[in-house]
Order: sequence, then structure tokens, then C-alpha cells
Amino acid sequence: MDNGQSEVLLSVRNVRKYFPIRGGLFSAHIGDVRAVDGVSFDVHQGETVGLVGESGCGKTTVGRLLLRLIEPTSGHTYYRPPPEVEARLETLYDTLDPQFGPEGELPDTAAPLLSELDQIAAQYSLYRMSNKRMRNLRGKLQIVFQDPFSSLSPRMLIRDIVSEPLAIHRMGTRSERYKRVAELLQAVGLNPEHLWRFPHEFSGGQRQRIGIARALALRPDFIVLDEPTSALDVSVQAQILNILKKLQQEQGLAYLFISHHLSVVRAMAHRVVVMYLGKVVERAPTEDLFNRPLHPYTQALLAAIPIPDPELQRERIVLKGDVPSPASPPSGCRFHTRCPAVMPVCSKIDPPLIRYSGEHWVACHLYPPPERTGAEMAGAATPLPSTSPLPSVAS
Amino acid sequence: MAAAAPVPAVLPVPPPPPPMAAPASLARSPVAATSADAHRIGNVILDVRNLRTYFFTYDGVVKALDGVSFNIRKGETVGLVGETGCGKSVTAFSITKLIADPPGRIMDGMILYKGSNLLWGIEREAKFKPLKGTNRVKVTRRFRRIRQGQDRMTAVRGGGISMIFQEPTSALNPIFSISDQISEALLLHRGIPIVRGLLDASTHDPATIAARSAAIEEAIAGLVKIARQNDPETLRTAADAFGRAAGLPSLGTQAYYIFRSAWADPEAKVPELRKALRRLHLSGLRENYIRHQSRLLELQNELKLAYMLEMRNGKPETRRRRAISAKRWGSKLRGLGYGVWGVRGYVNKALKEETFWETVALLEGVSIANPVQVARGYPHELSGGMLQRVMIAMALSSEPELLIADEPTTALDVTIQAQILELMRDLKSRIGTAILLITHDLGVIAEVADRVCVMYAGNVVEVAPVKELYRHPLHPYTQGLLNSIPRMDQPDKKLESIPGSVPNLIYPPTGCRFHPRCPFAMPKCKEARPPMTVEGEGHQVACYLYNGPVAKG
Amino acid sequence: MTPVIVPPKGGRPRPGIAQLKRTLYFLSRNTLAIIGLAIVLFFVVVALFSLFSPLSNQSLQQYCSVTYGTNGTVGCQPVCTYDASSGPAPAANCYPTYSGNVGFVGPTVDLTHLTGGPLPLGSMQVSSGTNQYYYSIYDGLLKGSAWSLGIAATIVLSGASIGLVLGAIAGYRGGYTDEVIMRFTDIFLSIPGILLVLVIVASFAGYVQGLEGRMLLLVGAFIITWWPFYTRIVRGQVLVTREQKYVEASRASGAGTGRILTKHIIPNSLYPVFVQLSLDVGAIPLLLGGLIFLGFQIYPSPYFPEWGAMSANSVANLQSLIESCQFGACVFPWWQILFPGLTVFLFAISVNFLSDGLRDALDPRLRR
Repeated sequence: MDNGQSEVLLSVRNVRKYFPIRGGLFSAHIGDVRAVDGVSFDVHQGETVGLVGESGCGKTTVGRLLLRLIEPTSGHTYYRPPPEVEARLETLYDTLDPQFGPEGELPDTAAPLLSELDQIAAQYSLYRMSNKRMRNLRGKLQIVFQDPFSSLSPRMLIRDIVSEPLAIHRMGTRSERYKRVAELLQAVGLNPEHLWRFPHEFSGGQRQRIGIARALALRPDFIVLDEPTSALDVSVQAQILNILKKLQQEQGLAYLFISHHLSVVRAMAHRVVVMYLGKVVERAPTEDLFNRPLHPYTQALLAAIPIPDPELQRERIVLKGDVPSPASPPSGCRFHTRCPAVMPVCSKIDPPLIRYSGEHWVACHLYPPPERTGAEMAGAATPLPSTSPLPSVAS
Repeated sequence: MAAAAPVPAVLPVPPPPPPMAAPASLARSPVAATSADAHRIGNVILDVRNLRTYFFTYDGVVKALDGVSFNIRKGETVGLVGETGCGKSVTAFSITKLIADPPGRIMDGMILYKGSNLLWGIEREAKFKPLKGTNRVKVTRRFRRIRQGQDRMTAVRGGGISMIFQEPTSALNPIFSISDQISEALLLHRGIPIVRGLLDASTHDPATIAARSAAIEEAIAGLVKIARQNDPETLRTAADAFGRAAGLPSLGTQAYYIFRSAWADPEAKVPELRKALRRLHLSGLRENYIRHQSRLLELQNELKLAYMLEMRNGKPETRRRRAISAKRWGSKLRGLGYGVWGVRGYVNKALKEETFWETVALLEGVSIANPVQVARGYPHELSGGMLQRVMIAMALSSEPELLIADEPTTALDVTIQAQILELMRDLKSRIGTAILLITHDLGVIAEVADRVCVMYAGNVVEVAPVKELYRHPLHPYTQGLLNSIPRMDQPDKKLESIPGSVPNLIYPPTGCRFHPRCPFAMPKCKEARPPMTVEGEGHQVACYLYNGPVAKG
Repeated sequence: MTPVIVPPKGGRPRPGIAQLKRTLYFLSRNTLAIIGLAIVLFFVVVALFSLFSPLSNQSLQQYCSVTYGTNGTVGCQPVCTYDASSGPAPAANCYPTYSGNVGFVGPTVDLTHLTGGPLPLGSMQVSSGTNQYYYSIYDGLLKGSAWSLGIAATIVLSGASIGLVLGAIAGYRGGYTDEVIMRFTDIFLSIPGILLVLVIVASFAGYVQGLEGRMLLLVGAFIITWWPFYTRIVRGQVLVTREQKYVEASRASGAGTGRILTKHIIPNSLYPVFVQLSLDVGAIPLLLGGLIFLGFQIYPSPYFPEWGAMSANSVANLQSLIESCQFGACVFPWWQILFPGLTVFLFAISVNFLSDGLRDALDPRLRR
């Protein structure tokens, strides 16, 4: 199930989103809620990336950032970088990653690399695109929401709801649009007669299908699925997941499957990213993650899922304490207040995300990174090879 | 907890009456079954028989529950499982009679709680008239009777049967502190032992006082010595000893928390402890107030017993109730003076402190790490998991026989859910309350429940002990449910879904309500609802595929 | 195969009709609301009729001049038609004619009752010198319904429209736009309403002429006072609506602000506006009457056929009316005060019942 060879669709690099907290006499900026604090991962074409974590970890925000529904505080998301550019980005970020400060700033020594990065970003980063280009891209990047009850406008007919994206982009005549709506409804397993109904006449599962049909209207490449089945019953969930898989096979869609149900993610995703309080703690292909969870948080998550088999005895890792608030995260590693394997260093230094083996990355002091030279640790730039494979980029 | 002085049996306990005939209602429904062996054993605390609850809405009559029967034995955890719209929450609210009265109505059935039928008098509460030409029904409600019915439930709600809800963040009143809210529940249901304890401990008998002072001094000395060792276990024992010496266990809890962080210099905390001891010296106005409260609580208890008697015998006890009410009003009038601004705070102090420390003890019982801070705090300061624990503490404060938990972990994160489930398992083994756990998560059921009832569209379709259910699910719906869950331990299993969708309960399918979606449907299934048949030890199914003996009720 | 798109039997479903049926059903269970609705509808029908009835271009009251013959007969002498809306008082030699049946429902004035007995029901006595003019209160009330409802509807609908637009923009945009609009609104809210109306009318009265001009000024002054309330209501509702997921879905598909506002935000923010609308419609005739009672002549004529004007003026004229007795019989014309006042009261309270009923019927939380 590993599609490592296919092209990169979205490359999320060091994205941060801070929400300012205002307080005091003149609504001064007294702090930040660090909802997303340096998240990086790739989404390849036609594959599903699972994003897991509990409430408050920032996964919903990441989903919206990928679609540019909100603007990030810093970082880039590169859309469809060609393979050479992608390789270049890999090298650049490999060097730069250890040098990023806690808020995404870079030391001055990294300036030349930064300017090169800037050039690439100007062309490929979603956040630097003009409004016009972004608008055209909207059709390719879609979202399906968690709550099937509030994601469909209650006063509009299904026909209008699903054809709205087409109408916004002025595609085709009205009758052509309605024909497409009927096709879309059939594709998700609904009867085309349902065009003429209102959302409140449908059950949760059916509404979720309508939401999926709406997302498919503009033939997207990539859909963010924000907990699409959390509000649904188990049997309906199975129906929706089957439909999603079918559509992925038929149309080569890529998904970002956001969920806190690890068992569902295991059934759907090719690769999994685990987040905690705004940071990525582990990132791996699905089977690797579930067979060999490295980070203590991942292990606790896996152990916490109730298994519908009363005879199965297993190790119960119950974490103590509550999830801290993202407005005042713990120092050092954010998980150290609840970690069963906590060490003294954990409260001081935030472990970086390092490659453990193959495609399995983890951010934990239990798995220290390979030794680096002192110069690199001090932040000096590594000299790059003089022949860069990058094609000339318009400045 | 304070040892309760036995509440005097005010009312004689009559022999159990013969079972009542089912009251007349809109339409007859087939009599569902209950397990015969449970009755033989005789430790059934809740017996739901043939419960029917309908909702009369603009769009028609929603037949939410149509003959639900099950029972719960002492100390066991029964899981009520089903999907959205199957009626499990409606069942819980029907048991505690918290159904929103327009538009809902409990039509029919019996809910036997310790021999009393909680639904006594239901048939006189409303009249029904179907409107021609529409599918609506005109409901004429007699509000006086409905109010009487609700008053009767006060005997049971919160005390014998308590409930915790789904959204912990909105289940507590935001303007009162946690200890205020739990104290309210404590006084309401366990007020008599608390107040009696306080009165007993504050005796004026000089001999007892002298003996006690000696014991107290000794205990204090012991405490100071042990506090230096900084060992919570021994400190706990010493604190309990102090509480016993003083005659009030809550003082023991208080002593523990006073000395817990004082291992450096315990001597400095002794004045605080002596100040706490002043609680024992009730005199004058304060003592009178507490006696007044005690009297009120006793009368309330008598009223509750009168209600229980009514529901058991099926005969109204109006005269007795009126007499008790009159005495209560008299008492309240006499106690009017205590409500004057300023006076209440003064006289209430001892009781408030007492209940505060009882609350702390309760919060300890639900594994909250810093109970004193939590008790002093407010709901908005706590997270969802903590609030759910507080709710559990509040529900358990009355030492109920049955705890109904309506989707207690659905709104919580997975790791917090694990904590709460561990707490529930712990409470099961420690306290032994019976739990009715309502959820749609089959994994949660597997972790906590002893027996499972599976519901579909307002009917119970299968009842079985938990291991049996997962090993041999008999009903096609249960099988479908189990097949559609993605399993961590079987990652390559294909997710099978049940075709179709949940039926519209205004126009439910005839006969077995599952037959339109059932892969094994037979012509018989359309005609009449299958009765519950016994297919194994404690395993019952309502399905024509099986031919076991019909379970008797 | 492309599926055939056929509308279901019975034509396209319309959201409005089903919603209307449901609202009416809930209203019908609320007795007070039905009474209110009936009365309000009655007034609306009356207003429409009096507007479009064949004689409606006369905002005239016809008068007759009572002549007393030598043998005790009483006659009614038409002299000229006097347009009460155009000037303050009849011209010196103008004795208008009373035709007795102006408007669509009106009793004939029985002149034989003039002598000795109480003045006929419906007549309002106007004296100018030695001449008595009568004008029918019925007429006045009928015409007045058109005026009162018309003025109230115009004020309220305009205020609501402005409020809707501004509130939606403020609520949706947030940030500076929101602050600026809301502070601007606060300025208007901080000045007492009646005072503002008076100031505006008084300042600009000199610039307008004629009935239309004055009415426009009055209505405009009221609109300026009223729109801030609607802005607040709409903004509150928009703050809720804009967080809905379907709005975010539209944005994800690339919809611009304008489209989202018109298609999603505004239609879903209308309910509280409706409720406030219905309340205000009842309040405005009361306010107008109150203004006149305070002594401010905002209408071109003291006998202007508008409910508030009639009730206030009749009270103001009370003194002179009592003093003017005729034939030795002094009658206290209670009906001149009662009926206009009663009409305003009835209208206002019916509208209040209706709006209460509407609020209960439309409230999504009370889904029954």
C-alpha cells in the first residue's frame, strides 16, 4: 500500500499558525495559541495520508491551512512541485531544518539558502499565489467536513448545493450543471431524484455523501476529509469509507484523512502522521506505524482504543493528566508532562523530527538523532554542490 | 464516609402485591419477555417491561420505543448498544421520566424498581385522539397528574437511580463552584446521615467531650510525628485516626489535606487543625439551624418513602402525603428566620464545611489528583475528562443502586476515554453499583460491560453476556454491526456495511423492524414481530431464524 | 448513461410553502396569535381598500354646513369641497358637503339626530367661527389605516433593509469594518429616538413643501432613528451564521464575499429581523400619536386622517370641544377620543400577539 513512487502533490514544510491572544487594557498582544507549530509532511498523488491526534492538537487547523482557508503565520505548502524541484527542496530543508528556531526564524547565515527557497516558494507555494490563481486552484483542493448537519445549507435544494461550486466558477450552462450533479450523486451512491430534496430530509450518512459529491464537483486532485465519519454510526461509517476508497481508485484522488480513530485510519491510510499539541511526533507508512509504534504517545493512543473483543487481554497504557492547553504548552517536549518514559532532558529540549529508518520519522529523545558535526549544530550553512539540478527559476 | 444512623422505618413494609394488569393505551403491543432466571434469583433491581414511548410531533407519531424489556441485576453492568435513532437514550430518559413532555409521552409499560412500579399512574396522565386525515394525534395532557407523577419520581431520581450525561462541559452550572453543586446533591440524598453525624459529634455531654479531647490531643501528636515522614499512606491512616477520635470522618479528610504538604514544618499547621475542630462546637443558633435542617430532611425522606409505597401498592397515599407536606411547610415557616441575609451564612458555616470535605472525599474516590483545588474551583476551569469525573462523583454521592451513564465518553478524547473507562472498572469492583451503560461504541462495551442489550429502532433485538455476544452474535443486525467495525487487530478485514438505512420511526416497517435490511429476511418477518427466544445461558434473540423457547416475563 | 432529470410529481418543491404551512400550523395552536393575525389582516385589507377604492383620491372629508330652518328642520348645505390634508383650516367661505358614504364602509349621517340628541356616531366637530363642520371618524380611521400602516411599513422595511445590509457586512467582515460600522451605529443609538426625529423634522421642515414632502421628511427621520436596532440584531445573527460549515464549504469552492452574503448569510439571518419587524410595526403609530400629543405638529393639518393624529388631536382639542355647546345641550364627545385611541391600541396589541406567536413558531429550538 505504499505509493512512494508517485508524484508529490502537496509538500507541507514547516507550517506554523499562531492565533494571537489579546488581553489587558488595550487588547494588547500578550501571547499566542500555537495551534500548529512547525508541521511538515508530503502528500503524494492518489494516496491517503492519515492525520491523527486528539482535540487541541491542531489537525483541523492543518487541514484548513492546506487549502489556504486560513493564512499561515509562517511556512510553505508547495503544490505539485516537479520532481527536480522536490528533490531540491528536500536537500534545502535537510540543511535548514535543524536551524529553524522555535518560532520558525532562521539565522542570518542561512540567507543565501533562504533566498533560493524564496524563489521556489514564489512559484510553487500556495501561500504566495495570486488571488486569481488561487481561485482557479480551489476546485482542485476540496474539503469534506465532519458535521453532516451543518455542512449543507438548510435552505437550499441539494441540486443547488452540489452545483454551487460549478456555478461559482461559471462552468457550463444550468442544465449542464444539473446533469453533472446527477452524475455526481450517482457516483456516491445516491438516487438522482434526490436533487429535488432538502438536506433535512436525509440521514447523516446520506448528507455526508452529498458533501462528498459537492467536493467532487470540480474534479479535484486532493480532498481534505475532516473527521468525515466521526458523527456517523458504525455501519454508515463503513459505507462512507467504502465509497471513499472506490472514488480514490477510480479517480486517483489524494486524501488527507483527519481523524482521532486510529482503527479507521489504519483501514484507510497509506501513511500516517501523528500530531500532539501542534507538532508532529511521528510520521510513518501505516503498517510501520501500527506494527512498531515508536513514540510513547502513539503507543498510548493505540493502547487506548477500545477493541470490540472482550476476551482480548492487552497492555493498558493509561496516560495521566489532561491534554495541556495549546496557549501555554509545556517546555521542551510537549508530551513530557504525561509521558510514561519521561527523562530529565525532555523538559528542557524539544526533540526534532528525525528519520528513524526508511520512511519512519519520530520526534522523541528516546531515539536520539545520529551524531552531527559541531559546525552543523552551531547553525553554519553547509556548502551545497555548485551544480544545482534546479532549472532556472524566474526571480 | 460518615456511618449512617439507621433511618427509622416510619412506614410498615407490606408484602409485594400481585403484578398489575397492563393499562389500556392506544394500541396493544406484544408482551416482550424478561429473563426468568433473574426473577428466581431475586436480585433484580430494575425490571423494564414492555416500555412504549411515543413522540407526538408535527410530522406524525414517532414510535421511539415499542415494547422494550430488559432487566438489571444488582452490581452488574449492562450495556445498551445501538446506533443513532434506536432509542437507547430515550430508554434512559424514560426510566428516569425525563422525557420532554410535549412532545413525548410514555404510553405503556412497567418499570419495576425494587418492587415499585415507577410508571404507575401513567395512563391517567393524558388522553389521545387521532386526527382524521392526517397522521397526527391530538394529545390532551392533564398537567396536574403529570406533575404528581414527576413528584413521585423525586423519590427515586438522584437517590436510588442516578444519571450522568453525554456532554460534561454543559452538565454543570457554571456559576456555582464544584463543591456547592456536589454538596447540594449530597444533602439532598445523603443529608440525614451527614447532619446526624454532625449533631452527634457536637454533643454537649461533658464526659464525652473530655474523653474526646484527650483522644484528639493524642491523635494530633501522632499526626505531627507522621507528617514529618512525608509518606502519604501512613499520613492517611493517621488522619483517619484523628477523624475517628474527633467523631467526624470529614475532619480526617481535612487533616490529611492540611498536613499533606507540611512535611517540613507540621507544627505550623496545628492551629489550622484546631480551627477546623471548632466545627464540632455547635451551639445556639448554629445548632438550632442544623436541627431544623435535620428535621426538614427527615420529613423529606418520609415523603420519599410515601411515594415509594404508592408506587409499590398502586394505591395513592394522599392523606399521609398531605400530612407530611403540612409538617414540612410548618417546619419551613419556622425556619424562615434563617433565610435572612447574613444569618444564613453564619449558621450554615459548619454544615458547609462538612459537606465541602465530604465532597473532597468523593472527588478522591474518582481519582482526581488535587481534589481540594477542584472542589473550590468552577466548572469552566476543568477539562472534559475532569468534569466527567466530577459528574460521576456527583452521581455516586447518593450511593445509588443504579447508575445510568448516557454515552459518558462520546464527547471525550480517546486517551481521556481510557482514563474514564478505567475509573468505571475500578468503581465497579470497589463500590458495586449496577451500571446501565448506553453507548454506540462496541469497543467500550467490550471493556466494561457484563451483559449487553442490542437495540434497533426501538426494540431490543438481542441480549447476551458480553463474551457470548462477541463470540456468537445471533441476530443479523448484531452480526452486521460487528462486521462493520474496523478492527485494529484485523487490519485487512473488509468493512462490510449494512445495506439501507435506519427506518423512519413514524412509519416503521411492519413485523420485525429490521427485515428491510436483513440478508436473511423471510416472508414471516413482515407479518409479526418475533418474540424473544432463549438460545443459551442468558442469551436471548428476537429473530425468526431461531426456534428456541419463548422467554417468559 | 446520463440520468434523466425530472422534477417530481407535484412540481418543484418550494422551501417557502412547506415552511409557511408549518408556521401556520404552529400559529394556529396559539389562540392569541390567531386573534392578532386576524385583526392585523383585517386592518391590512381595510387599508388596501381605502387606498384603491374609487373615491380614494380624496383625502377629503366632506363636510356639510348645518342649517337650521325656521320650522325646526335641519339641513345640510354643501358649499365646497375642502381638502383637510392640504391646509390648516377651511377657507373663509368654504362649507364643504358631506356625502355620507366616503370610503367603503361608513354609516350615513342621520341629520335628524343633530337636534338635541348626541352628535351622530362618527362625527367629529370642527368649528371655525360660527360654522360647524363634521367629519366622520369612520372615514378618518379608514383612511388612517392606510396612512398608519403605510408609514409604519415604509419605516420598518427601509430600516430593516439598511440594517440588514450594514449588519451583514459588519458581522461577516469583522475587524475594522465591524468596528467602524458598529461605532457609527452606536452614535445613533445614543441619541434618544424621539428627540432625533424632532430635530431632523424641525431642521428640514423649511425645505420641503406639500404633503408628499412633509411625509417623506417624517418617514426619513424615523428611518434614520430606526436602522441601528436592526443592524445590531442582524450582526448578532450573522456572527453565528458565518461560523456554519456550509459557509466554509462555499469559501472552499472559491465563492467571494458577495455571493456568500447574498446566498447564505442574509437568508439565514432573517428570522430575528422578522420578529423585530412585527413589533415595530405596532409601535410606530403609537409613537406618532405620542409626538402629536406632545404638541408637535408634524402633519400638515390638525385634522389629518391618521390614527395617532386623530387621537392626539382630539384630546388636544378637548377643551375647545367641551366649551362649544350647541342648542344648550353640551355633549362630551367621548367617541372622538375613544375610537381612534382604541384602534391604535387594538392594532398595536394584535401585532404584538402576532409577533409573539411568530417567534414561537419560527424558533428552531422549539421543534415540535
